[in-house]
Amino acid sequence: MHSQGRRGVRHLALLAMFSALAMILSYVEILLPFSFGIPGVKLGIPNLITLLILYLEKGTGKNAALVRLTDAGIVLLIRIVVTGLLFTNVYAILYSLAGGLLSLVCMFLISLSDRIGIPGCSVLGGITHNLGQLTVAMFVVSQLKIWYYFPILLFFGTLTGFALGILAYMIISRRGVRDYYDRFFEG
Amino acid sequence: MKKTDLIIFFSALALFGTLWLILSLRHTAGSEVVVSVDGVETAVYPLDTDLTVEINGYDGGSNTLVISDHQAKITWADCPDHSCVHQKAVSADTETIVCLPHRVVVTVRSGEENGIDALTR
Repeated sequence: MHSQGRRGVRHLALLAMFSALAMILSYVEILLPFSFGIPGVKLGIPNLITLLILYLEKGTGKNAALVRLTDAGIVLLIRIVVTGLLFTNVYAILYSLAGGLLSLVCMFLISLSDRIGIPGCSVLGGITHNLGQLTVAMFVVSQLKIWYYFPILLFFGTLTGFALGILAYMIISRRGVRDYYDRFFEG
Repeated sequence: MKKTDLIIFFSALALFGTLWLILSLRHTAGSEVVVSVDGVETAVYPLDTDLTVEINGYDGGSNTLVISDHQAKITWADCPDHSCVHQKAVSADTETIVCLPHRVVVTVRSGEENGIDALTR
């Protein structure tokens, strides 16, 4: 009982830390002008946190698969709602939520497979994020024409997704990161 | 990093390449600019006459559409993000500028496919 409670507190602290990190990365993303005048194009740096949660926990085998999904989901919701209210508007929250949740489910399912690695997962996550965004945008303006943007979003989503996936892979494969994460739940 | 990662990466790029090729093969010069607000077509302007016009968007928003030199561009908007203003000028068939906060969609069309419409109008 006692150890369970202690573990719960550590788990909570870890999620809070991931949420704070994700919010900082969201802010960094707003500061970096990367959109080339194309609406919806962004680096997707906060997605790094989703990848870390899904794959760090998978690698250490500390939590059941469903816990990984809810952990990543909680951090995603906190990050989108808080940074949305701080820096952008309600509609931006709507687009981010649609894209974020869709890509989270997609990346979670992929993370269950051992045949696809982190970069591939990240690429598909980036693409599904764009699909979710465009679907909401389509309903907002009631215009099918908005899918005109899909090819260019696909291009940038693939590139940034791959780059971030490699970065996440490099972070996760460092021994220090794994050891730290392991020790976090012990003692 | 596995082989499947590279396969996913390159097939996504190949999909982009294919879509891009299809779009550029269908690339024809447009002849008119269609403005729609909240899904309703509100105005059609010919591309070959220079024009500056105010678009009244959803929720009292306002955008300035400028047509000059066979190109359409949104030069001003009172929305917070201004992403429509930063988008490049459009001139070819199916090219689109979107202002999400005002639900304004500006599309170029060739005007040839709806010859009957042109007659009845």
